Amino acid sequence: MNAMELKQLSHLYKNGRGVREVDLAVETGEVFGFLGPNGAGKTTLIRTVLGLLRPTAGEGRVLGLDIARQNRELRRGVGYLPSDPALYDFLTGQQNLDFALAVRGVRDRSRARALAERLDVDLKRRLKTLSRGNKQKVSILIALAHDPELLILDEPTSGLDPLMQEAFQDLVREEQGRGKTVFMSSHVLGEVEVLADRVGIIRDGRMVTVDHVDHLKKTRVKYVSCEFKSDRPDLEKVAGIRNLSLDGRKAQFTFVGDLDPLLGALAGHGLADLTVADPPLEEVFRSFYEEGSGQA
Amino acid sequence: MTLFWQHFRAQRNGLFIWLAASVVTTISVASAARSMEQSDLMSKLGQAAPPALQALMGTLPGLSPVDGFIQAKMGTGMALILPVYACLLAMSAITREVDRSTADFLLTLPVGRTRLLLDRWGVMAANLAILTLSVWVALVVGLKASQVIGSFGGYFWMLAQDWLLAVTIGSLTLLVSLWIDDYSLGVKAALAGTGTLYVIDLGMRVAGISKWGRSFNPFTYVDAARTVMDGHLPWGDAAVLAVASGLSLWLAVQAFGRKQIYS
Repeated sequence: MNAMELKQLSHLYKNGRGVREVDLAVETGEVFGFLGPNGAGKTTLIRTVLGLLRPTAGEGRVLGLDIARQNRELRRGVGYLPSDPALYDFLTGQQNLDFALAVRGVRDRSRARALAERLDVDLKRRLKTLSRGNKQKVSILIALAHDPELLILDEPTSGLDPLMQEAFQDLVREEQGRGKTVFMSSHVLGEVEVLADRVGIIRDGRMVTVDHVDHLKKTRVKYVSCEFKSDRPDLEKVAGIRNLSLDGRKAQFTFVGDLDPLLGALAGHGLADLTVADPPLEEVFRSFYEEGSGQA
Repeated sequence: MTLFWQHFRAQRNGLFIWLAASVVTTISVASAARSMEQSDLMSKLGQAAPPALQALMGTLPGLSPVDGFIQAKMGTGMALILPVYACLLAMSAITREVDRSTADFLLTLPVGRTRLLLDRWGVMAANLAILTLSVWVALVVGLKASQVIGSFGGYFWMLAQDWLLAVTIGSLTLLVSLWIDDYSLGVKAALAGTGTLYVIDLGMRVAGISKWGRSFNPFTYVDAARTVMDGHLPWGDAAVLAVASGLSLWLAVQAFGRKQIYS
């Protein structure tokens, strides 16, 4: 069973923006990275899945439960971390945690205590006196404390210091190791690259690709560095070449597309050296957006 | 009951402030009642006024000077004060949660929206009841301390009627609040609306417009002087308020079930 399955799911705002016809299956036990810039529809999709917004079309199931008709039940098995900590400022971290656990009917607090210790969370102070990073830690604790089957994390490490980001990444890996599913939206592509098995990229409300991180990096964009024995060819005219940097007989660029035509274009000019490397995920991500804005 | 007590605790400080202000005011009014017992100046002044103004001044024929004074000051006063408090409570039920984004936290817990709204309504009704009962107790204690004999049972029903009015206005405000996501704007709109209805009712009563002509307005169904005189709740008016309150709550439950919670 997939932990999350969306079929043609849409939520459109009155201005026509939102998410459109999203098809997605997140497998149980995987870490799924959900990428897109601000305004692409990441948070709208998450809010629709969680029942804060109603789908305007399509359907979805989370943990086997219908997102429109069984949303209350599905939320029992979900831990949600919003992009901005949205807890009760006039309560302490402990009071916020106690409230969430009481509503969820969780009596055993041992997991919450262990997590609080590990995240080094100050639960005694009122939230309004805490920094954004410390509020975020309380939010992470509350999202994880009831041992959910599915974690939905919206920009989880924003506000965390590098050490705590590492601790958080360890937590995510452990949860995955325990068979839990993690759906994580992030701007921090390095973090997604390290944690996620697969990623989905959303652009203007539409899911433009869903693929394994390694496969995406191998097939989508390449870093190319080459040196010619004599005059180099006119590389500006080769389709798919970007960020071209020339230095005498040497050339460096990123390349999007099928490698065969590129190799054909280079082969007749006496190659002295050629290196083709996988780029970081960030470059792959950028390639989808440049394609969408007509720069490809 | 977790949701109920959580919200009740959140409203606790506000309740203490309203209690303190209302009890002090009530005791001041009660201590002033003795002078009314010994003076008929107000009666003489009020005799030429229309009945609605006489009720406001506490000089209606058939009411003792003390009863007239108490119903004018407490019955009519609480008919405005309790609805104002009800507006604030109703606006903090959902609108404030949405405005401060805590609705995201609340509604991503396994909480049913109907249950949440009913619990929030329950906190509003309970806080208004605590305030109303406290005012009645302060009134009785204040009058007894001043050795003034009043219609204590009548005062109880007079305040009960004000409570019912406040619950009705709170329920209407709760319904309207579901289309308002800005807490500050919502509070201003609710207070302006309530104040306008109060003034319209007063103006229409002074102008002698029939009850039927004023039937759209919840304030129509409160008559402190008559309740003190009769010594019991006017059941017909109470039923109208109860039905209006129940209908508003039912509509609010339906609307909240469909409400989109935007970030």
